[in-house]
Amino acid sequence: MQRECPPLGVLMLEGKMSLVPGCMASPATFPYPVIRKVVRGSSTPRGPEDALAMLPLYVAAARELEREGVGAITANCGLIALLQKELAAAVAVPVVTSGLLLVPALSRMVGGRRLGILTFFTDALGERNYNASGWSSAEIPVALGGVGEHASWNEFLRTKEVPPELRRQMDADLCQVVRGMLAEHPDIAAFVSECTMLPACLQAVRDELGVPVYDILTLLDLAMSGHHRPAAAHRPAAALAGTPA
Amino acid sequence: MAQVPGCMASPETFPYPVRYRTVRGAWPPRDRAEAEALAPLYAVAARELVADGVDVVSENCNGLMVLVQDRLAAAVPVPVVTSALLLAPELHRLIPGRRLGILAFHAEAVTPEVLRACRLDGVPVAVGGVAGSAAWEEFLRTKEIPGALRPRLEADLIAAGRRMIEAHPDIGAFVCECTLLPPCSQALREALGLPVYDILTVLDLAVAGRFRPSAAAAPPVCSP
Repeated sequence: MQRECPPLGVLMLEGKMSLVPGCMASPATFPYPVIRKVVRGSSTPRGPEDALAMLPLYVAAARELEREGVGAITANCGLIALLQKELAAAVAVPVVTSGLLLVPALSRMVGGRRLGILTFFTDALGERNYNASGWSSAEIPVALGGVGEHASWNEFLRTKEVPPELRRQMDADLCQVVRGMLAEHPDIAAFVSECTMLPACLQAVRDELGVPVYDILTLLDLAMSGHHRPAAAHRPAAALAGTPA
Repeated sequence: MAQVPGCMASPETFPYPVRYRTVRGAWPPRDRAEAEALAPLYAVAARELVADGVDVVSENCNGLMVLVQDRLAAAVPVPVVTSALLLAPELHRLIPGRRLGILAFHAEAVTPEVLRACRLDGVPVAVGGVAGSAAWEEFLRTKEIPGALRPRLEADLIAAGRRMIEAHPDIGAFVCECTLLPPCSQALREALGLPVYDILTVLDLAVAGRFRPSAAAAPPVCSP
C-alpha cells in the first residue's frame, strides 16, 4: 500500500512574488507537491516588529495548511524566521522558516570551522535572527556576506524576474561576493543562504567555487524526505558514475 | 556488510556516486575509549576518501563513532556525518512542541553520553529499539533480507514505533539512529504517518550542499 506523499505548505506574503525556479512561488522549484497559501492581511515586513505583529495571521494560515494535510510548512520571507518557535509550536508538522536552522548541525559536520552566511542586505541580519534559529555567533564562528550592493540583485528584487542577461550578471555578482568572503576568511568550510531569493543562483556558486552551499531548499528537501525517501534511491542517469570499490 | 537497498554498502541506496573505503583494523567500538582509539584509523581513511575526491564523508556504523564526530570532522575539509542523530536538535526545532522518537537496534546503546554528544540534553526524546525481534536479529546475523523476512522486519519495526507512540503520544517525528533500519524506513513512514529521518535523509542533505539545482531535476516522486 503506497501512501501518497503529503504536499509542502508554503505561507506566502500578499503581493507579487518571483516565479523564477529556485524561488518559493515557482512550481519548478520543488520535486514534491506544494500547496501555497497567501496569508491574508500580510504585507512585506520592513523590520522585525512588523514580522512579530503578523504572528496571529501566520499561525491561523499554518493551521489551515495543517488541516489540508501538508507534510511540512515554510514561508517565503526570511523575517518570518523570527517567528520560528511560536509558529512551529502552533502545529504538529515540521515548520522550516529559514536555512539558518541548519547552522548548528552543519557547524559540527565541518568540525567547528567557520560558516559563511549569505543574505541580501547584510545590515538586516544579526544575532536576533541567529537566536531565532537556535544558535549564537558567540558559539559558532560565521562570516556574513550579501548581494545588496549589486545592481543586478536589486533589479531582481524590484522586478522579481530574471531574464537571461540578468542571470549571468547575478551569477557573477553572487560568485564575487562568495570569493570575497573566502579571501577574507579562508577558513570558511561551508555556506548557508538565509535569503529565499538567492537559491535561484546558488548552483552557479557550487559549480564555480566548489564549496558546499545549503539553503532553505536543501533544508525543505530534508524535511519532506521524512515523508518519502525510498531505500533504493531514484537514480537520475546523470548520477550513475559511482562505482563501489 | 549488508548489500540490501537502504544499507550503506548497497550501490542502490544513493542517487549520487559513492566511494567506499574499508577502515583497516577497525572493529565496532563498545565504549568511548574504543571509539577514541579508532579515531586515528578513521581519520586516515577519511583523508584518503577526500584525496579520492569525495564531497562528504560518512561511515556505516552509526553507533559510538558519533562520540568522535568533532575529531573526524576536523581531520578533513569536507562535511562529515557520523550519525543521523547529529541533526536531531535541529529536527526538534522544527517541531518544538513535540517529542522526538529515536529508533535504534539496541535501545540501551543510545546512552546519555551519546545523547549529550548529539547535543540532545534538554530535548524531549523517547528511545526504542528492535532488539529481541527474531526477524531483526536474523537480519543482523545474515545481513540479508530474503522475501519472507522483509514483511516480518517491517511489522516488527512498525510495532516498535507504535509502542513508543503509545507510551509517548506527543512524538512528532522519528529519527533512526541505526544504519540497519533504513531498508524499512519507508514502511515505517507509511504505517505511522509521521516523518521518519535516518542516515540517508541526512546524507542526502549533506550532499545537496554541492548539488541542488534551482529547478528540481528529479521527476515528482509522489503523486499530488
